[in-house]
Amino acid sequence: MVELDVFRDFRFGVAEPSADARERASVRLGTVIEGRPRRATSILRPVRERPGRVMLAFAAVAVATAVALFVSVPWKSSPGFLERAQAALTPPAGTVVHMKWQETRSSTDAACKVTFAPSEMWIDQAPPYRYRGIVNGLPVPGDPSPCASGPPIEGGGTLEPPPVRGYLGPGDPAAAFREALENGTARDEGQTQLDGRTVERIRFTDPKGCFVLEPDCEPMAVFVDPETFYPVRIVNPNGNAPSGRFSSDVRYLTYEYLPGNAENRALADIR
Amino acid sequence: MDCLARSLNEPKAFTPIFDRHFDAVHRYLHRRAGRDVADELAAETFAIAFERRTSCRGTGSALPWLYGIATNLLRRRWRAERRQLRAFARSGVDRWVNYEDEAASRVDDAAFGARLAGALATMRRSERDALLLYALAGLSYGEIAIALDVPVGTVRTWLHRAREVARQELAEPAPRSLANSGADVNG
Repeated sequence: MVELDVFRDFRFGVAEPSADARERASVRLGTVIEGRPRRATSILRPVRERPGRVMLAFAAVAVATAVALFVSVPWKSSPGFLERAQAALTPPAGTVVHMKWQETRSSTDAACKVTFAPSEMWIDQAPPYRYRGIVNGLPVPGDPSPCASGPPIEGGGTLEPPPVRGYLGPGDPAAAFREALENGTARDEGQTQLDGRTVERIRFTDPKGCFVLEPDCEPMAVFVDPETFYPVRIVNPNGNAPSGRFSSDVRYLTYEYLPGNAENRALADIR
Repeated sequence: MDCLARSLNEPKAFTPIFDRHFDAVHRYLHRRAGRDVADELAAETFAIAFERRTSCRGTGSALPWLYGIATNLLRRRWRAERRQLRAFARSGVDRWVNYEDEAASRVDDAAFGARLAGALATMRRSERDALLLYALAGLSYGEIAIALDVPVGTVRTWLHRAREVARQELAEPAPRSLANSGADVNG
């Protein structure tokens, strides 16, 4: 192991973390432990006293879209895929992302299946990156079933830092897609038919299909429009609820960039 | 009993995990990707670890699992990490890390560090991850397997390949330019 042991000296003697870095990390962890949103400030209607609910609901979407986008597989995509996708996904400056989706959840453990009413979100891509969403599929306090759903909740606030690439909180799947492309962690698996249309199947997973280590995690399927590369459908079998695992099938009914005028910016502003 | 099991019912019981392991995780990230990245990703590692603590495996220290999360986070930046390594290998100047003793300037070590960087840049990402968990984090084969969620046999294979690359690269009489090597296509 001599050849490997020499690497023990690589960058040996680096400085310890600064007190400031440690403090910031501690505060961030404390925020997570206490259940407060950590990537966004938020305003809720009508249940302002339960910010975690909106974050959980938004997280259901964000997890389905973004979690696996940051992990890697060797890049062996078809010729031109990377260039085409990057070109298509470069967002027009100052626009407002508008997306509408509908989620179907099913669970063998909980023996249930439900399709929630559509959810909708607007994200202003100009500082301070305001967002607003009306989300269905919120968990019901006291009901452990992944198929339980409370009333729709309107939530919003500002996102920090942009671009929206967090794995929790409101997320723009295309932003996460862009980052995956830049990092070489997305792979084109070719075109297929889905719901009567041609889509491109993209894989964003490591060989185990997990971002964070989970021994029994299954691969996630992501389908995008072959021309625009906007999200069409994301199937994530890795949902976890108190009553068991569930699969989340998110269909994007709308994904578009609206002009960044005052009227559209107002759609992303919950104040 | 799963590691971190206590914090499942008592979330604040996770705090001592942070106190105990933050410096080690930060140091590992710092040595791999520089101080700024370490500041960000070390915080991210513990936030994720808390949120996903049910998936922590093993009966001993949570540290290998934490290193695994940190390594996964680094994968977002593997191209940047590779660029750093190549630049360090080419120039012999490491601009990304801060040393405890800057006055020493580490001139003597710089040339050898650059050669190590060149070797690391040539390895596949999985081999580099396994090697650096072994060398920088001091993990055993079994702990690396936990960290990367792969069988121990896979760890052995990756480290065997890493050793072969290291042997070949470090046997070169002088640092070679990596600019056009085309190495590490698969990360």
